Amino acid sequence: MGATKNSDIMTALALQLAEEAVPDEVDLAPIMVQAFVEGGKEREELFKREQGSVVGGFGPGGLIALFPWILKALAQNGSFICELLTTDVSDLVSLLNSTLDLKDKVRASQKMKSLPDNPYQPLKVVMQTVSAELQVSGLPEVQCDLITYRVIRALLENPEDSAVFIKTLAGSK
Amino acid sequence: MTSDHAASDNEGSHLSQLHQSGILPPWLWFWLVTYLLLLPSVLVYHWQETIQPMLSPQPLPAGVGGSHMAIMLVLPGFTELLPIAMLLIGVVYVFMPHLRRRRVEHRYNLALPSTITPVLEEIIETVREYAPGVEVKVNLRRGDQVAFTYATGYRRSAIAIFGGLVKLWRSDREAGRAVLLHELGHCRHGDVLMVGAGSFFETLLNAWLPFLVLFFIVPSILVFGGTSISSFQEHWQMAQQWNEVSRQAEDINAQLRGLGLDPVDVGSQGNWFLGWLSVLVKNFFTVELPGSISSIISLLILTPIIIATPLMATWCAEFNADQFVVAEQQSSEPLLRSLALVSPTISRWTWLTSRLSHPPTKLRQWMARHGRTPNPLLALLLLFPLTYIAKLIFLNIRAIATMMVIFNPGEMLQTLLQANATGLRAFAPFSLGTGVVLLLYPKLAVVWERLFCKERRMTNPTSYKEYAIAAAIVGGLGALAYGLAGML
Repeated sequence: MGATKNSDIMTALALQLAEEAVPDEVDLAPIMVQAFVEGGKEREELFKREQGSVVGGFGPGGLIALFPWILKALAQNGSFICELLTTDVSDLVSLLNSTLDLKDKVRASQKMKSLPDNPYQPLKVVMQTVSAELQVSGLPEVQCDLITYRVIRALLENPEDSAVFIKTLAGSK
Repeated sequence: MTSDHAASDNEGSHLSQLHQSGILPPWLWFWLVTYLLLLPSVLVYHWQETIQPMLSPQPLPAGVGGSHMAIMLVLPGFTELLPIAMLLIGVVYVFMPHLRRRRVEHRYNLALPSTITPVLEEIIETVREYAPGVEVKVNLRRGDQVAFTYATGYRRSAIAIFGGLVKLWRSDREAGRAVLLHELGHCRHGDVLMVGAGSFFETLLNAWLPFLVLFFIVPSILVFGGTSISSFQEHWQMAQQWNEVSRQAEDINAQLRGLGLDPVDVGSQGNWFLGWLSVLVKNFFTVELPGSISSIISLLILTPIIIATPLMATWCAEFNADQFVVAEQQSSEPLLRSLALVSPTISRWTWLTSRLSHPPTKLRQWMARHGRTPNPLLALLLLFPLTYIAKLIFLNIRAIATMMVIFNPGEMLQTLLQANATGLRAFAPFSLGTGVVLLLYPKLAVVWERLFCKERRMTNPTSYKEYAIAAAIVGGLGALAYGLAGML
């Protein structure tokens, strides 16, 4: 019963995060979460980048799926994120909304970085660490920042389920 | 609207529902048939010329290394056999589609889709529409791949769908459709079984340099080292003998001087070590180095000679699949977008190995834009037949590289003329054969594709002129080759 509920939470949040941050990967999100949690070869496949052409294929190369990198960043910063999810700062979602509404994305990024440490230190730590993890995928910094804001906003909308989601990701091998 | 117009509109809408058959003949099949026809004579030739000397090398005199040195001298044969073996293994692999299926499905973790998302449903629907009967296997965990086809039987195939295609379909549906239609173009045209022949070309390219080092450069160094040591020993022994003779001459001269006679002048030997070194250096720069360079050029050129025709046939299959996409989408834009999207920055080596299965992306983009216009279409039609001429040119370069060290210009010219006469005699029937195929294909394209595809709404290529011109060109070249061969 508990396992089914957990699995439902994982699927629902995977879809929600993908819709928010990488909408073109929404079909892949539940499968990717499952593979990530399973670990081992399944997880390795998510990050594979084989160069060159496959005989009978379309040509060299493919695309980069970002969702696995989001999962990795969330799993690696699980403790910071859980801390943020239990914080009593009430205006975090509206702050993120107003930031994401800004048309100038560089300014949006700067605005978040210039927030005072008190009471935004947990938010700033999460933003910085998650965005840094995403940059490993090869995506430019500003884009990583924006994806991070969207992911964190989605997580903050339902902190209870998000905590389960993050703990499951962080606990997987 | 007049009744004529109405009829023509009806016909037009009916034609638009028909799916275009491939515009290029199935050159991969043509190549395989000719390869298999020639295979016995090719195998006999390599058995006699390369393998037998390797199995029982002619022993050399003990002074120049004996049997060990003889083995060293036949080792480069492995490098020569490498492209031939890789192609042969690829051809054998073509006849084992079930083995290929297992290997591919295991390597890429492919399985039947467990969950059908809306995008996957659209993809499967498109596969059913264009290539009913083709299986769909998925691995949505991998975003680095988009899609490929593989044989599951002699006339059956499957299409592998990856996360990359699903993502592309979501972000740009028409570009995603272009990728899928390209793969379906392969299935419909019967390419899927045949492309397996090139499965080991990448292995060939990766193994070529290590083979050259291991079986040519290292043995050459050892042979050179061995002969140098032998010649050092000879020079040293000669120097010792000379010293002995000088000593005896000194004794005799002392006796002669004692008898009041003039001593005998025995001359001076000079520094024997410098003498040996100068012979060694001269030998290296006049014999060893030119011989090695000529052998490396000869081995290097052998690979394009062996793989040129199947490679061009594979490129033609890719161009053909691209043209199918353009015809079905009535625009080259989605294909161009998908080519731009899935072409990452890759290393030069990866670029080179990628060329073993696909033409350069820029050339594909150009062909996608212009492939239906007369001149580029003519160029596409001639691409495979003219590869035989390129092969003849490469054979001449190889022959010159091999002979320039051994023969004088007169002998070289005579041998080249004889070799070209043989080459042209071999080229002529292939050229005439490709001409016949070009002439017949526009009328038989639908019949051909129905062998591999259960879909019935197909139409032959509409323009016949370019096929006739291409057939006339290659047919004319074939006739010219016969004539020239007779003259030579």
